[in-house]
Amino acid sequence: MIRWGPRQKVGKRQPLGTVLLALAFCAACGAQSPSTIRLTDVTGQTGIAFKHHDGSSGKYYIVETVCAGLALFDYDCDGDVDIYFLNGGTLKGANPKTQPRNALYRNDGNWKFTDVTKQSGLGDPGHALGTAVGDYDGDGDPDVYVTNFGPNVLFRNNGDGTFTDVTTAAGVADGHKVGAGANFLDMDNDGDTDIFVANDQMQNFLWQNDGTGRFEEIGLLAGVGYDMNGDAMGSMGVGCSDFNHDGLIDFYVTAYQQQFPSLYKNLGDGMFEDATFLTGAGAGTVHTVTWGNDFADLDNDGDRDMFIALGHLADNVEKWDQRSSYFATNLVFMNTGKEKFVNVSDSAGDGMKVKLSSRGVGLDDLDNDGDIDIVVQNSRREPTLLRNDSPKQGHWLQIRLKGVKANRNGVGARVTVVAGDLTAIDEVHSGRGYQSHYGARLYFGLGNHQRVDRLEVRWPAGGVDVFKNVAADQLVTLIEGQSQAALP
Amino acid sequence: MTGHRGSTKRAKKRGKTSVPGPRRLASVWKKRTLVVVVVAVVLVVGWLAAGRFLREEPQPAQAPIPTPPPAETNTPTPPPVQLSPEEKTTALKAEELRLAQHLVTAFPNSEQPLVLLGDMYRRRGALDQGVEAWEKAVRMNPKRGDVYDRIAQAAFETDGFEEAIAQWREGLETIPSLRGAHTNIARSLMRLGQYEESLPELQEEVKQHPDIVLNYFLLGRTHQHLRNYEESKTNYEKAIELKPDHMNAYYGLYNVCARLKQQEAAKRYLAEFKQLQKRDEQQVRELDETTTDLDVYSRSLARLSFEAHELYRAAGNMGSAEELLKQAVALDPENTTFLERLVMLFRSRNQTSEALALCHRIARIDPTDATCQLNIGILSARTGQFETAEKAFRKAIEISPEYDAGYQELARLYLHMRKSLPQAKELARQAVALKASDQNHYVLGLTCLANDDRTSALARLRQATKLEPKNAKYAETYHNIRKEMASK
Repeated sequence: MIRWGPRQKVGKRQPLGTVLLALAFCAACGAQSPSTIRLTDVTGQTGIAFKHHDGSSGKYYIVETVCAGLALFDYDCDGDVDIYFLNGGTLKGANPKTQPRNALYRNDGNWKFTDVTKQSGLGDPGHALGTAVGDYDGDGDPDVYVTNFGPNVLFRNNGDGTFTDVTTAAGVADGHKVGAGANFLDMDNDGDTDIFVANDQMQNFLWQNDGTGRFEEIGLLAGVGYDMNGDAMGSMGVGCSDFNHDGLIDFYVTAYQQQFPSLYKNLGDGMFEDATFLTGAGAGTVHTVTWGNDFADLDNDGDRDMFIALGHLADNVEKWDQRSSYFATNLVFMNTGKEKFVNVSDSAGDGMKVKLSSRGVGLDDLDNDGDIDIVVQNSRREPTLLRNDSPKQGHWLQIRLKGVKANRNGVGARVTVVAGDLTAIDEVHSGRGYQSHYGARLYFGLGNHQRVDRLEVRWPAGGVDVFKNVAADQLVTLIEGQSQAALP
Repeated sequence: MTGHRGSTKRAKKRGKTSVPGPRRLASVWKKRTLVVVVVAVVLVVGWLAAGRFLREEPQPAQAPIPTPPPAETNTPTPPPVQLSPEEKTTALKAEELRLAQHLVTAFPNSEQPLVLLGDMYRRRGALDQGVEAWEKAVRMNPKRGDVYDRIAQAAFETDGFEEAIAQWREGLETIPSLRGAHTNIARSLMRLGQYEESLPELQEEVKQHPDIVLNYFLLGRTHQHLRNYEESKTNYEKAIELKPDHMNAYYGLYNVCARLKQQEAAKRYLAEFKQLQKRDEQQVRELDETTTDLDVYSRSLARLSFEAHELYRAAGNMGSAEELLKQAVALDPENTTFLERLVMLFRSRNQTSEALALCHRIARIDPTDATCQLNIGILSARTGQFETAEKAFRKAIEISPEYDAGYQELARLYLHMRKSLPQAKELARQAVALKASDQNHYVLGLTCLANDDRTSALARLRQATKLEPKNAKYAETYHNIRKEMASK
């Protein structure tokens, strides 16, 4: 792929002085803005030996190229986030030496992980694409649903570190479809859960919940069905968050090569505006396919930055199109707080130099140190674990919700945090980014605010809990209906 | 392959020659299939190359045409080999590369072969090689504004928007009226989020080329992003005025009207968008189904052959030029530009029947081509097929009633046939009304004369002479009439 460096005028010779002046200027500017985000590749020290297999048949089935996602969740409820990697199965024509399976890695702390796939029973051999985690039976521990090319699988958490395949018993066996990613969220602030579905080469769907459990598809009317020109995109993943702190959830939808991902800014009246170019959120993406993505305050300065996974789906794309490449470095955008993103990938640490063909992404605090780390699923290769080593410059608050009337994980609940002049919202979503699941704990970067003045939880069942004067830099668990509970 | 090696070994051991007997012949052919296929591919390439243009230098006179290598006499004639589409495609690609590289060697003092080489790489997705060739071309001839345009386009497609803007500006320095350069600068600025800055570029382009739809559409989009909804609406409407099925403009209008709370109009535009989108999807599907790699590379080599023909023609090597033109036509038989050039060639050599046959072919491909109908008429008249000629001229008038040539030629035909003379005069009058050229005045003069209106004839001939004083025919006819009138 061509890299357009500092310009050199073609066809005319430059005087030496001009050249030197230009070089000095370029050196002074640097290629990109300085980053307050540092991501370090720590994969090698984690003990994770998982290697993704895409079911390579030599026939380039589409289900090979689009897999797979991952899940970050605390399967054993021990307080740290574990990793569940999805794997491709054995497709017709493939002949792997060993049967590929999904893999569960237990987080032992200090960036050490142990493969507990066998004892957990989560090593499904199906051709996995996506996953979602939730406590479907309300027993307090997270259960896992895997969408396969082939039968989908529901695993019930037995509460002792093991899972049981309950697909048939639970009546969810009708899964001989290609499962795709989706996102539950409240896009219109009316207290019920709407659904966004990123569709490949078709109009995206935005299902608006009318509050009675019935949905109306309004993607086209709302302006999120297509890109700014009205063209259908090869939509892959969707990140949902309020990137500009206006109290409305926005979308970032990734796309195919030579298409720009779309940042749909929520205008608050049922309509969205494609603000990709205005915000700079499309820079550096057009040459290849963009996949998993989401917003997260990576430098704790109070606004949400963005991480995007890249990589073409065809391993031979360079043969016919040198504009693209199968392997690509991922992107990190720093939110400047003025509805502008700056691509700081080149100065955000060695973690951003990893060049593979990435797919699903998960963002969570894997080492419980108060900043968001990143796990990247890479097609046909080992995953990448990125430790957030950004300089400690801001405060933070993490929130775990426990529903009582609502579902146990509080999926659909919205939290509003007010700290001085900062007002930020977030929601508990099930299914995020590209075919992935993470973020059961909500995370707020607070900048220089040492306390949260007001914290409001609006539960999906309708109740509202308010907490005041909450200290920063801690993880708090909020139980539905316990507004008055003392918080540190 | 192993079997083949084994049998050769065995034959050597037995001391036998490798000449097969009649019974072994079939099996030997079977074993040699691969070799034959390879040889056939080479022959196809050779045949294509036998476009006899691969001479070292442009020749002023026609050089002997190389013939394909003679078949070996001591081997039986191989059965006809059917190449697969993939093999044909490979052969075409190889030939295209060979021709492009050959042109660079054959015309070392011209930048055009480098431009063509770059174009070829571009069509193959090899952008970096394309840019390299174009940069060499523009170093040879810095006045080639169109080459800056190509480099800019490559930068635009690979995220190098600043580079693209700079290249287009250089192109404008060379050719101030470089078509589309301001539009493309505006598009690059928009991708950089600089919508305000893109406005003057688009306005400049509209000033220079008021009929280009894209500029109005982009103005609509820019104003939409700048929240100037009324201006946006006006420009989208203008785009639709120029191109009534502009799907994207309808989508823009829907969004703008929704922002302006003009719900009825929004609904109407959305319905229009959906209808056009459905049609568009159908067209894309049909195109995908009918276009193969073989078609793409056939057309690609055809285009290069045509461009190469231009080079040889300009260098005076008419023999090679003709061969290349014929090759272009053979590879892309539906391309009317190539066919029309061949018609011109045949006409210049008075090969009327060949030219006429080609014209009929063009008319079948594009029944709305008025120029082709004119050519049919002129050539038919030349070969005495007056009825066909009359029909063709009438058809030309029907297709392009605002085009004067049809009226003029039909008037001439009637004059020649001495039939429908009053009608001939009327036709000539219409031609003058559409275009008051010297030719049209002259023909009108002749029709006046044929209708015994000598005074008017003289007036028209005076007008023709005034417009084109160097044309002796006009003065001669004028004086003849005067003489005739005087003698009476």
